[in-house]
Amino acid sequence: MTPGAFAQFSFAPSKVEASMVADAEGIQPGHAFTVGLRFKIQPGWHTYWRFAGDFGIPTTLDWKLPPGWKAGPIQWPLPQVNHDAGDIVSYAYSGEAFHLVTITPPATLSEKTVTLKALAKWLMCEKECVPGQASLSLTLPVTDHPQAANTDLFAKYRALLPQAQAPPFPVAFTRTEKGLRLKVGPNAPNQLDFYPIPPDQLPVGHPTRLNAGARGMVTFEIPIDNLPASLQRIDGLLVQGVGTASPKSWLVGATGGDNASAPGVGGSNGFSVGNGAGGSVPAGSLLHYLLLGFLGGLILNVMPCVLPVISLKILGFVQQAGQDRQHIFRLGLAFTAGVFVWFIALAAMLIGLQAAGRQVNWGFQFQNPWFVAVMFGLVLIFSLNLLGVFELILPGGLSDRFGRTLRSDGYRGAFANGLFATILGSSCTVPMLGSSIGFALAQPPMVIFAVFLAIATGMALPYFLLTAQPAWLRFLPRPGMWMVRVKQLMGMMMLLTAVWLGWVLWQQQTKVIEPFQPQLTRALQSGRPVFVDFTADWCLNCKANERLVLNTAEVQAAFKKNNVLVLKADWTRNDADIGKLLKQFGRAGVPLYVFYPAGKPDQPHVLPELLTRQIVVDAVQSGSPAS
Amino acid sequence: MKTIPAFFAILVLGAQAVFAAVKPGDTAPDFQLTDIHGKTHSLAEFKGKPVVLEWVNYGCPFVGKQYNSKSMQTLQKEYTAKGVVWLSINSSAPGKQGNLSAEEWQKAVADKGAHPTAVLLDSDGKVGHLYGAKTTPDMWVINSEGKVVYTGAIDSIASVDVADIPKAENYVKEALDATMAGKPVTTAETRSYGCSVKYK
Repeated sequence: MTPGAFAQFSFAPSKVEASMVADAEGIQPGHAFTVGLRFKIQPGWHTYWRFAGDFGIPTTLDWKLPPGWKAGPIQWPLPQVNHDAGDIVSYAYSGEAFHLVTITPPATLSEKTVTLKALAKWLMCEKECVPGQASLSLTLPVTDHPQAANTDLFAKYRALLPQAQAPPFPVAFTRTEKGLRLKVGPNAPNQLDFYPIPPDQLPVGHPTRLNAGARGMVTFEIPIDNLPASLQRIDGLLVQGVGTASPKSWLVGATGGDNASAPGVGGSNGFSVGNGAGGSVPAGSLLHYLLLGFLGGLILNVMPCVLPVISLKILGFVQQAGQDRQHIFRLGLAFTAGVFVWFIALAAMLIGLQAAGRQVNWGFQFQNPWFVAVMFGLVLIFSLNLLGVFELILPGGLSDRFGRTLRSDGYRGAFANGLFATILGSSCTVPMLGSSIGFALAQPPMVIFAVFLAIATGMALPYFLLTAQPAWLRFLPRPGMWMVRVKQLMGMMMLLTAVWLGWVLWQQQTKVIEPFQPQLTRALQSGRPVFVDFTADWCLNCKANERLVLNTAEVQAAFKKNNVLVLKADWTRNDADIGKLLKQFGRAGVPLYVFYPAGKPDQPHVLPELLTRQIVVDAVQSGSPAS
Repeated sequence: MKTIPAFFAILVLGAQAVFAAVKPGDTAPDFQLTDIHGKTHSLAEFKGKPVVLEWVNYGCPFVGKQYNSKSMQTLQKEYTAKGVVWLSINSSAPGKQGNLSAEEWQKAVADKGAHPTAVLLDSDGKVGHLYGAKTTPDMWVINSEGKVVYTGAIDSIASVDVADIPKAENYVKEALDATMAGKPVTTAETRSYGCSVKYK
């Protein structure tokens, strides 16, 4: 019997031919060597990784070893990620699968040859699933100087194992209300994917990569329902360069290398807003939108039904409190509290709406033409109101009651003033608030609260400042025609937005969608380099990149010079092929920019979501990613 | 003045949601499907009774494990006798494994001695997608108030081995026993295992 011979019994006409080989021609006592369980898999069939994904069963190997021998766990080379209809993801092998196991013989061996036995069990699936098993044995001579065997085979699959060292960039998990968030970086590679290895029984959703953070930072959202209180992280595989000739992977999590302590949730930088289709609001931008909310709140004071009230109110406080600056200020605080109460109530109501909406599975997707139509209608109405086409008026009885409370003295009066003034001001402010409400409905409750608090702060700020320094009242602008002009200007801008939404709606209805996959295949077969622009009509980031980078003379020239075939993957109407491709690149939404060098359809380079002309030109010219 | 378009930028960029599968605590969404005898059923018609949704495909070895051991049929018989509505649903697309004609289904159900209240055909995958069914089997237990109290695997051992059935915890049985006794369900959600649902 030649060294490394095997015997096999299969229980089914197997689509998988199993065998066992060793990386040495003999066994040296006390010296570990590696055995490989090798599967030759029929085309179309798959066997599964240590975490199979939505379905499938990982291959198992049960050793029957003589006493004193030890076998380690299976070491798994990098699997493929398969996407099946119905958003079903699995981690699998096709063509050939190779499972490495380290075997350690005892320090002394009396035998001249040793036979190692194992029972391999697996699931193989194509259009259907069939379980398979094989009893395998390996007989090797005992020798003091074993020669290497099957070197190429072992080298090939060793290269596809996770790296022995920890990843060269920090990796940290945080808990979120959606599950876990995995933050990688700084110095994270651009093309990075995460394959989860969840604990048994824990249902884990498909990890999605969140769009554009800072350069060198990559964040994954790992959806886990009813996150167990004790769960801080899960195992998984970080993979760099999926689809390239030499991908690299690292095991991370509880048993891997997690070489960064979890970041303290300092400020808003631990917070990412939104995910999924349509381009999400990236982490740093939360601050940006809070600022906008604050400014919006400030602007509310300029509305015709609010501005005249400000000086009146402050003067009222001054009258009440006389020269007592402290008292004036405290009255101002009470007033401010009233403003805040209104906005907090609004936020709470929205959160309730949102929770109710989740029950009935409301969708807020720009891919849904109904959603766009409703938004178009609302924006149109709001713009007409601001332009003065019609007014919103509160019922008379309410106005009277407010009038009485407004005149009462003391802190309670001031508080009531704050609350009611804001409500009264609603007739002008609803159009402004309408848009924030639309935005807020899609965000987590914390964000809703934050944005509304920002608006409340903006709105209450004048009162706060002016009651601290009543002398500044003289700097307050006098009410006048200019307030009406401001209102009209904002009405115009809203009208423009309505027009844009109308255009999106029109595009959605009339656009002819050609399936994308055939276009891509043809392009890749052409032998030319291919640049794919994954975009959608409602994706502002995409449009910005197109306007500011892709359609510029410089980039267009670079495309021409290098004979690049530019493909637009238009996801406006949710093309299934494009959705699949996005998932293959580990993305949940657009934008996505992929460059295939000429004649290398299996080596796509993914460019960052925030493009610059330099990035595109470099990528196209050198045929390699710039960074 | 930039705030208005910016508000709309917020609206546009931020407004989307991810549809999640139907989870414990959710109200089970209503649906209408035709059964293998041509009769139409809706979930709403079973209001007031506990309902089990079982995604099935007799050709899948994981479903085979439950049916060859008679474990699933026993469960169906026992609980339909107690007033539970058991709906077996198949979402295999035409031409894919498990998509059978009504007559073939009737024969298969009789062969297996299966005892569901109805076997429903969902060949365009609408209801499968509605619930987020990914595997066969994939189970949902809905209480008599229409709320989902369990979703996930049929039992605790992910294998095709019939010998594992007596060793495993049957989550559906536990959920039904608890909810019918008015008690909270201890294991409300597990990761389902099986073959993939053969969607279009």
